[in-house]
Amino acid sequence: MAHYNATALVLHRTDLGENDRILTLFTRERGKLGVVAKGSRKGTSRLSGATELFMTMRLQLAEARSLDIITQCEIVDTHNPLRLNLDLLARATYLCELLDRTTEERDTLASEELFDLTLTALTLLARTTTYPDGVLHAYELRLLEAIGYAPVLDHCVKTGEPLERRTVGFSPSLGGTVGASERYQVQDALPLSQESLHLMQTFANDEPERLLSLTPSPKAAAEVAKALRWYIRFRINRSLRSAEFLDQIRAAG
Amino acid sequence: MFHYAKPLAHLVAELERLPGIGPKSAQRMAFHILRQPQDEAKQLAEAILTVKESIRLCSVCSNFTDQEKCEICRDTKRDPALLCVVAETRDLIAMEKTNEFKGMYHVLQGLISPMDNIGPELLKIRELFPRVVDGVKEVILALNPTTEGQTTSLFLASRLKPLGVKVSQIASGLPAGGDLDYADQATLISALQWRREM
Ligand SMILES: [Zn+2]
Repeated sequence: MAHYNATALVLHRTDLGENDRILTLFTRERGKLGVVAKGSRKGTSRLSGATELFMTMRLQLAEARSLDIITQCEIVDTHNPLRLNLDLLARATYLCELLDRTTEERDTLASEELFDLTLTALTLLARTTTYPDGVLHAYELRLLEAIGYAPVLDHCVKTGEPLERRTVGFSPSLGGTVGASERYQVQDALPLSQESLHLMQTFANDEPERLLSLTPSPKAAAEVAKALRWYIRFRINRSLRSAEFLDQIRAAG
Repeated sequence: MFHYAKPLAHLVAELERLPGIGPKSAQRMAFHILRQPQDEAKQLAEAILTVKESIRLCSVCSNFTDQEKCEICRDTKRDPALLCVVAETRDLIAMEKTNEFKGMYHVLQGLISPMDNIGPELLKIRELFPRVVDGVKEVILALNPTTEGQTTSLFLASRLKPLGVKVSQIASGLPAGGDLDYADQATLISALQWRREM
């Protein structure tokens, strides 16, 4: 049996029989992988605590006919602060589901970039105080860029003209911003105020640390959240289940 | 190629659908049943039918019961000011075996798992609030120390605290009789987090 090492993040898990679990991992080296964590359902197993969502680990795996098997495991980061706060936990769950739904197994094309991006997002999320959705949206935009789906945010996708300095449109189906004079002609165009547009550009381009000091108006935060929600839904052709749970929490917050 | 006779193949297929039962165990069980005396096999079949016909959820706590209210909810000697929330009936049984807890229970019949499409609305959460308003002083959350358990605990705490009730969560940490050196990292980290002053 050939062995290999990987740095991995747990995206999802399901029980397998009485003792084992199947994990969906995102590894830096080999992209998304389904693996078996033998014995991890038993409380006495060293693996039991390591199979939780967004645990980050160094692993040794053994190649097997269907799913590879974890043979050694060392936890690098439990991301524990995220587990103590419902707002953060629901958002971290969403990040994992988004990565899971937008990547194919064993696609290594952008795996290093996506792994580092996700780890950065989880770390930043734990440090946010006022606007945790900022980390979420920056993650969404950068993940989309890494997989080749970055929306246009600096000119009108219909005319190619620069954007006016007033409320413009954002069209999920056309793949980005449309000018103020065009937005009523585009069926699915959502409004983006100047503040919202700048916020989106900040998410896409600025240093990650900047995200922690953002305090957008509720209107801009809502516009950006809606634009990205519909864009992602259009791109991956489905809605994310954890996004619905997140909406419930936001509504109560 | 030889195939099992149809009724036998059917039984094997049904047994295979049970949790944790693979094709080999299903065949072993099917042959065992086949060799059993007629009335023993009949008792098994009847037990399965009876459980489906007579067991329902307790109208108060959502525990499995064969009556309107379960045995615990009918017990007047228990403390109605203490309410322990568990995910499944088997967790309730585990708590009862400790002989430590003399309050009441509430069984959620699952845990929130957004990615698996299990939202709060699918669990017995709505049924919990009228009970809490009605004289409960402390709600003890006794859910699995997993991400799903933690999501559910945090969700319940956020909804229960505004009602002015004390909400606590059972500690998670090292197993009794365990060796510190053998504990997995996640457990040690959790034990450290749940440390208390002496
Ligand atoms: Zn009951």
